[in-house]
Amino acid sequence: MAVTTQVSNDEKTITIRVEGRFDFTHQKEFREAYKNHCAPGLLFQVELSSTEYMDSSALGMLLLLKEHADSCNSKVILKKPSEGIKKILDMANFGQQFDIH
Amino acid sequence: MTGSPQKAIQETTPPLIRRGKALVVDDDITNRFVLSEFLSIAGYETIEAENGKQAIERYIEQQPDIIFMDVMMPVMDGLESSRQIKAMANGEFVPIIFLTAMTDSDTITRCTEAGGDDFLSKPINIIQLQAKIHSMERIRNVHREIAALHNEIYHEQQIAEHIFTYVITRGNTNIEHIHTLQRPAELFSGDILLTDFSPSRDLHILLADFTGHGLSAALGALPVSEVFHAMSAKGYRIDEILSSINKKLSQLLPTNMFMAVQYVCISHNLEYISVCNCGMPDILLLDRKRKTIKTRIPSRGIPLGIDSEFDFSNIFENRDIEYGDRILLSSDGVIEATNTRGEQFGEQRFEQVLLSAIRKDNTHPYFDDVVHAFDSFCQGSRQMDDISLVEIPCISENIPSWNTQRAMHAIKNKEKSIKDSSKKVDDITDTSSEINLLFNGYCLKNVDPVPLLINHINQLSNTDVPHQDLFVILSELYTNSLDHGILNLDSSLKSNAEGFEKYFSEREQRLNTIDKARIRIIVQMQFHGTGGLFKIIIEDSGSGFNHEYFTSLENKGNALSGRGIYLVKQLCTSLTYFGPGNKAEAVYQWSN
Repeated sequence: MAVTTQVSNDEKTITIRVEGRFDFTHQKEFREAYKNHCAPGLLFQVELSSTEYMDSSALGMLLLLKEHADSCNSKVILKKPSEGIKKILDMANFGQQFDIH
Repeated sequence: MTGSPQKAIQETTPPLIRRGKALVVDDDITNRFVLSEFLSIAGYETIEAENGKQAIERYIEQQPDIIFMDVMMPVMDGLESSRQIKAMANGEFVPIIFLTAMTDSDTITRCTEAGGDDFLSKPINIIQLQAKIHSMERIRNVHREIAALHNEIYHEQQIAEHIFTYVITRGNTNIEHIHTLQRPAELFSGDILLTDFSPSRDLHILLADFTGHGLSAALGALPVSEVFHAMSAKGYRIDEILSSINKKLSQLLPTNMFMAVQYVCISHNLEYISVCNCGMPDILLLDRKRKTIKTRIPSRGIPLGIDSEFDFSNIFENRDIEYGDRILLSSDGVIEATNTRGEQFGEQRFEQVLLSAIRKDNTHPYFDDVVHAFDSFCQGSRQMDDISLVEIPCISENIPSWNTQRAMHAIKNKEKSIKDSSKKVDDITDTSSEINLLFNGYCLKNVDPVPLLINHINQLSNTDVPHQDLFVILSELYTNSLDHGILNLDSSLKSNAEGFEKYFSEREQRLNTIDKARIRIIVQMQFHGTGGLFKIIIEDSGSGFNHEYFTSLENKGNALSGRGIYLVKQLCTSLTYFGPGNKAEAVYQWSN
């Protein structure tokens, strides 16, 4: 599966990893990955190191995740985007919306 | 097989239902005969073929509704024949039922791969045959229903698309020198191109790309087009227009939808462009003379519809241009288009193609070259996203240039109205209406009073007012008053690219320091049957400027600054500066 979720031992960090293409076909999987996790102080990490390509609907999904996180008083960070992915995030100036590490 | 075929069928189905044509393919004449008999009793008209090759010929001639196919036959076997028939079926569901004595999984796999829909084991059992016929008919009916629905939807979408495109683009100014390549991935495009003129004939061009593609992406385009045309026609700046569109989209769009945008406004005198890029690939400015990419404007803003409070005033830039420069807008569908090997067209390849195209001789239609190179790269691969490529040459043909034609027209108009009008300028003591506005430092920094004034004047007048002339007069006088009177900016700075940027950044800085400054604008209006007379007074709290120098200049074709005042002089009956130059009074007359 292209989207995998990992919950840390202390249940504070949810890591969502997207492999390969991240596009509209993953809408459901991506939502499933976070929708049941909601608690103040949670950290949603989106692991992008093995994401090869991202389209605008993927950016939209990240915004939905952020909306979810905001409503739970928790945070989203985007981790390890490759150069190509970083470029797409920069083009949309997502640095103003998300922490990117 | 038990009993005669006739008897068996009669026992289970009423005869003489017309079921269409069945093609029976078998090299054994007895098998063909028996199956044909069964089928004709079941209501089929039957045709026969001895081998796979003949089956294809019969299929082409007769277009059967169902095919019964033996596997092993001379000349061409059933597998190859089925593959060819399915390839020719073109979306139509023509069930192929394999007749086979072997039911091992290898045979089943090979038959299914060749396009077989079901199996019938030999020798043929009547009950099984009927069951297969019924199940195939059910599938075929569903198939036909879906195809009919699909057609219907497609047809409706076509009509909707036609109307939709008309609504979106009807406000657009038709500019024949702009070259475009627009290819939607589906019927509806999520990419839109909007064009319009401001009252001063600045050319506004907006290329937008909504999340996704198809109908849902296209719907957001309606409010964008509305706001764009309404505000550009009133003379608002691009950051103000973007801010309004952004607010509207933030209310309207669901969280995961947004609109990336490239926005360019070319000044009427072809001196500079104001440009803004939010979430799109770089906007390129091509230097036609030096045949290079002069400037690229990367995305500095976030796409619209995400953050309703986003401030666009910090991210738009002014760049100077030269006659003949070309502006290139594109959606990400261009650089992300892939070839059959899955490689992207990419930024680098795109720019190489551009440069090699502009390096050919000037008369060559280079845009066609670029499109051609793009097409040969993508040939054979499926288009995944909407594609837009727009090239705007900075030439006077694109800008109905008021600084020659309009000024000439205005001069004629002026002479005429002086002749026509029985009143003299000095006689105006009792004006029919008057607008008197005072702007403080905060307003000067944040509000452009010109669209506001034009709006008021429109509402107060009972006759057609020449907007363009008024816009030019008001905005030139206001800009002089603010830039030179209050901000003390030196317009000779604008003579080269470096100075040009310096001018605007300096302007930005100084605007923050003018809390106590004031500009008063008074417009006195008098209308008569077919025309009227305006007296416009603009007074500022600054220390004036060297107006004598500017007003004395005659031929402004090649001068670096002062064009504005020259134009106002051309349009007006009189233009007078008072005191050190901090009060200007212009009289404008017209008759329709």
